[in-house]
Amino acid sequence: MDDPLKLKIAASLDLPTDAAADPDVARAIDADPEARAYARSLHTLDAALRRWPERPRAESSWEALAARLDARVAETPTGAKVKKKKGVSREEADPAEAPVFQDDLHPPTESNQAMSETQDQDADLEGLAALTRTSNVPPSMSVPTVRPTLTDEVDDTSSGIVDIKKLAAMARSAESMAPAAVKEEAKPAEPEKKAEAKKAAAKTDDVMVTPSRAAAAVPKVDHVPTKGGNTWLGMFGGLALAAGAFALYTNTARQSPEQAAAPMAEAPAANSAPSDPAPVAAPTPAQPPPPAAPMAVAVPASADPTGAAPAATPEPAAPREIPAAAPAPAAEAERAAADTVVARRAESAAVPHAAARGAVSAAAPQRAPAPTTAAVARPAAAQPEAAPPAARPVPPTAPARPVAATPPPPSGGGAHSVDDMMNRITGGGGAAAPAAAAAPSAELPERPTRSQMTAVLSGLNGPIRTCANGQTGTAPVAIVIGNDGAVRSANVSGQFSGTPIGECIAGVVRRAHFPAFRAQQVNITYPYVILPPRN
Amino acid sequence: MASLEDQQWLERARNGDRKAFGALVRQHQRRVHRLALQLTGSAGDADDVVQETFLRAYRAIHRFDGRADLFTWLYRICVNVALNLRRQNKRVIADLDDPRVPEPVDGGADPALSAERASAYRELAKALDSLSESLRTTMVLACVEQLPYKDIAQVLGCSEGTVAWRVHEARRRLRECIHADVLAALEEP
Repeated sequence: MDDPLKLKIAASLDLPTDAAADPDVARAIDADPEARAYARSLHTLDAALRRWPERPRAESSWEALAARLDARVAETPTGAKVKKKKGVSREEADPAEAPVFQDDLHPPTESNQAMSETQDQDADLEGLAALTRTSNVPPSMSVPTVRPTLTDEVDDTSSGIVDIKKLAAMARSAESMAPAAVKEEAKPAEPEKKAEAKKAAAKTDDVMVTPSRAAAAVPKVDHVPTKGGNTWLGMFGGLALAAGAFALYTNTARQSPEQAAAPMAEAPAANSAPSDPAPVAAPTPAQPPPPAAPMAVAVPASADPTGAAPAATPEPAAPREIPAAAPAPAAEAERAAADTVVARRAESAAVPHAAARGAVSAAAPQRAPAPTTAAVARPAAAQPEAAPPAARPVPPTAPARPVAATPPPPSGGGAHSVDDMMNRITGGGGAAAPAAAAAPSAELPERPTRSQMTAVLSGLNGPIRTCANGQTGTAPVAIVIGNDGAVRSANVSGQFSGTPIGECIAGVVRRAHFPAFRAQQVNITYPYVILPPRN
Repeated sequence: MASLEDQQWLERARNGDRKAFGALVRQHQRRVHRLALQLTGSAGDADDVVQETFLRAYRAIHRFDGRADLFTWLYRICVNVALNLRRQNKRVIADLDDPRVPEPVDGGADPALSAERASAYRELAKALDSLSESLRTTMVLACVEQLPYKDIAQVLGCSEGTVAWRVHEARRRLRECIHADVLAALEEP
């Protein structure tokens, strides 16, 4: 008996007695003895709790209790007359405040409440929101520009989360791998970098690391990372740095190849094809570069108003579809790595699915799936507009990135680039992509991580709210995901079962696309809680 | 929305009529006591919680605007008081005579069955105690008090989805920790 069925059986206990039973549950109970036993045990428990017998208490005892209270009330002034004492407890001030539980178990469906309720203080939502942001790691960072910003909160200007330990290790190894000349230049920032690395080591996994975007492309500019929340300042700063990078690049491009060699070593991220600055200048990654020049395209993330940072991928003349059709493998892998940040929340699983829970623990070392599932790689936070990412999945017909034809990375980026290191750490993207594409089944995870599934499913909140058309309630959706990431079936149970709203919700979920995996299929049940919009 | 009767008593109580408040106490104290008993597991503590709940309600009666049911407001205060009391009594002493456990009925049709059921309820009470604060409180409100999820959400200040998940999780955990024999004894005759 699978978890969705258990959930359905449990949910059926809450139906009104005159409500029609869920046909799936009725069928399963008829056919499966295990399901029958489970339903019976739950029913027995529920019934026992509902008819919990009370010990009889004499009327006089109740009256005595009330009389004692009367006496105390007589000594107590009403609220208006109570003098406020110093150090009065919060509860004294308002005894009817919402109870705060020490164990406060946030249900996984809490994320769905964000459909209509913003819960700024909710750490779970922060974590989930963070997971749905695209990677902020610049597509191709040069070694000396590793300037991570340590924040205790999610930076809205950033879209990436990197495992702090990995980044700290990366910073250290970057220092050792940097060429001598580069080290010279990086020296002034050395103490600061060390302090940051030290700070990073001291921090726990909860810390989000948001490397600055544009600093990667402009090594010499002392990028001042903004603190979380300073969105506009960060955006303007990023744009300014991108403009600086562009200016630097164009200057370099006009020089002779010999002259250009040195600066290019400093800024390999700018471009490996100095004769063609077009890709760098491209305001949106959707514009294909001139087809003549094979190049390592490195579009600064800050130039992309959507915040989507495509991975630097040396590509031949083939048209680019980086942002639309192919996810940044590094972003995928980082998100998998970021699962470690929220892995401690595995107990309060978003999907009450034992398998999914297990998958989370194994998320960090996983290699990112082959970049053919674009819908998953377009997370919500990457889109400033309201439409969530998975709400508009890329159709399966969208051509995948022609990774097989990808040439080896140019020596400018070299094996010493942070991008390469990131790829090695996270096990995906960049030079590793062709290998991953060559043997996809061996590299795929056994099943998608819970956070990946949650990211996709929570991204459907917008369309599902539209489906609900103002109605509220819970719509548990039993989903069967095929190993290609496509949804094989989606059935809505509960109050919306068999209704047009339920059909609409199921249709939205059926169009979702998950990362590919090795297992035959994955069954999950995801309860969408549709709440009235906040006034 | 508070009932008309409650509203009348409330209005008078707000104006300082202690008898009106006494009437409210007598009307609601059994429900509040039942909840307090389930949350504390001790008859003495339950009485204290009831007293404290109504005292706090009296002090803050001007805050109650009457938009919600009075009992949900009282329940919320009761949950707060009971949680505080439980946290203060960190050393939990097993109550040999758990007041939540029904007494075996002497002279009933089947004394053995009655004793078995009492024992099963003791196990059930223990299993409830083993749940976390949030799950236990939600489960008591949902199943023992039989409040609709909407009211529970109001009492606990959370969403109905949260309530639904907690109830589901509590059921799952209860089933895991209750032995099949106990379940059999709890079945309806």
